[in-house]
Amino acid sequence: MTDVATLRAMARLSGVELPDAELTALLPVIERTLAMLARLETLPLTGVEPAAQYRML
Amino acid sequence: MADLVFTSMVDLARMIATKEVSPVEVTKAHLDRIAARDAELRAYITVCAEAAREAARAAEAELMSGRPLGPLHGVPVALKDLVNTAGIRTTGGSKILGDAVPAQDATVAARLRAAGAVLLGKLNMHEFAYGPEGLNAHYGTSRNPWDAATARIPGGSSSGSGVAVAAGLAPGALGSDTGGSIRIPASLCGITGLKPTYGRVSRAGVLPLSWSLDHIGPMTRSAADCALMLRCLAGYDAADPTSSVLPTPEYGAALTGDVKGLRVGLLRAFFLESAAPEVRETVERAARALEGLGATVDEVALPHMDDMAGASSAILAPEALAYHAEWLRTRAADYQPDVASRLRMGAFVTGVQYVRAQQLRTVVRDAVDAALARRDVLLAPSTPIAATPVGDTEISIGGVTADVRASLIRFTRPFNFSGHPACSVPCGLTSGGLPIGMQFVGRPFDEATVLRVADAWQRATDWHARRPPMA
Repeated sequence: MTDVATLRAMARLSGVELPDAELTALLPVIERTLAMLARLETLPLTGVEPAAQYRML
Repeated sequence: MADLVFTSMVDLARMIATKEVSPVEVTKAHLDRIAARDAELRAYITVCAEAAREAARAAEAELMSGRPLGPLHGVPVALKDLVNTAGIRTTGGSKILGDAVPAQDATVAARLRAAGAVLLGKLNMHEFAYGPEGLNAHYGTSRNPWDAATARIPGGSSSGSGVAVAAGLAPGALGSDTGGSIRIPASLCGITGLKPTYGRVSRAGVLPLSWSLDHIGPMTRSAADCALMLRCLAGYDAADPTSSVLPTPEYGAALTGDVKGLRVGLLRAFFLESAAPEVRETVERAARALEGLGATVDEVALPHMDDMAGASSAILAPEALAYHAEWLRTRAADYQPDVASRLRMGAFVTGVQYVRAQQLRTVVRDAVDAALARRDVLLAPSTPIAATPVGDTEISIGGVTADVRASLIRFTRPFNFSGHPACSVPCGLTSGGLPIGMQFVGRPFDEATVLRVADAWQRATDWHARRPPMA
């Protein structure tokens, strides 16, 4: 579960100011997105080099 | 000469070079059609009528002087309105850049001009390329020409490119593809769209959505025309740090019409199995038809496809927010609401999640390479659904309710993530008469094979030659 205060703090860290009413409205969408992102933490990616830039050829 | 507006780019180039038709005549035919039809279709944001007439007259003079001609000499093209054009406004489909006039051409615009192309104008798009429906609150949403009765989405974000090419308002156009923005409108508008390999075509001077996922490519009415345009666009550009130094082949020479012995991997899991029944059956029929042409078809599955939504968002959202942060702070009200919401989502992705997504990118890229190690191309539907009515946000797919936006990008996004080349071609119509598209995915930098199989398909079928009712 995510609350509006946490979202407000995250948004500010990225330089985005959002009124609480807007954050509250966005909350369900954000929670769905965060759930998708959380899946990334469950993947076996230890030791995998990130593709910071795709193939320089 | 009404059919000039439905003549292929390959034929127009030949007819102009042999003086069968003049560039002035070809340009006039397209400008007349734009004048007659675009108020309804809204494919263009800016029409460069006078500049196009002038360029056509210059092309005619060069032709008469006997100077060497470029591959697109006198052939009209149009550009998605995020490709910078010197002296011509480049809006990104936005209010924010409504009056922005670049001083320089993007590399791709300059290369098309150098090849002799005549610029008709700048094409409509989902605002800042951030949406697969092709919606635009500022310039009006382009109308999908395949349904005269109901306003349906053209697909996006290269919506104007899809509509203009399908309806004969341009023989070829440029699009950009971050999660499917070339292939989705190609699929929904019944045209051919190629997303080249990441690095094959320069992004320099094109407004970014997500630097590491953006691709620029041609949208035309045939694979042969895509090959012609790619020949002019591809190749190293020092202005794009991700541009490839690999040599570019003569793509037209690869179009042999022959797929005998070609190995096709049909993507059933995640792709065919979650497409609407009509789409699934149509692509299965196409796979059998390819077998009939001499290709061998087997089934193959790619891992981690269910993770694509999260992983792509983890890259796209923060990259897009980084580009838009200042405007989002100072001009938030000037964005259309859906785009502003998506941009804000970038604030909620952590740095660790971004890196995890890039790690997964390595895994998925290697998996697609592995699937292509013993196959020449992969085959999947381009979109699980055909064009939906404008305003619909949900659709029933095989009895299951699905989000339209998520569905549109489901099959295209994995190959932006992996960077592999992919070409969408028309392969049938729904019972309601709407186009269905399928995509061929190839090895990195092997656009030639992707175009070869797409061209062979089009020599054996006529889906790409069908005209929409509103054309």
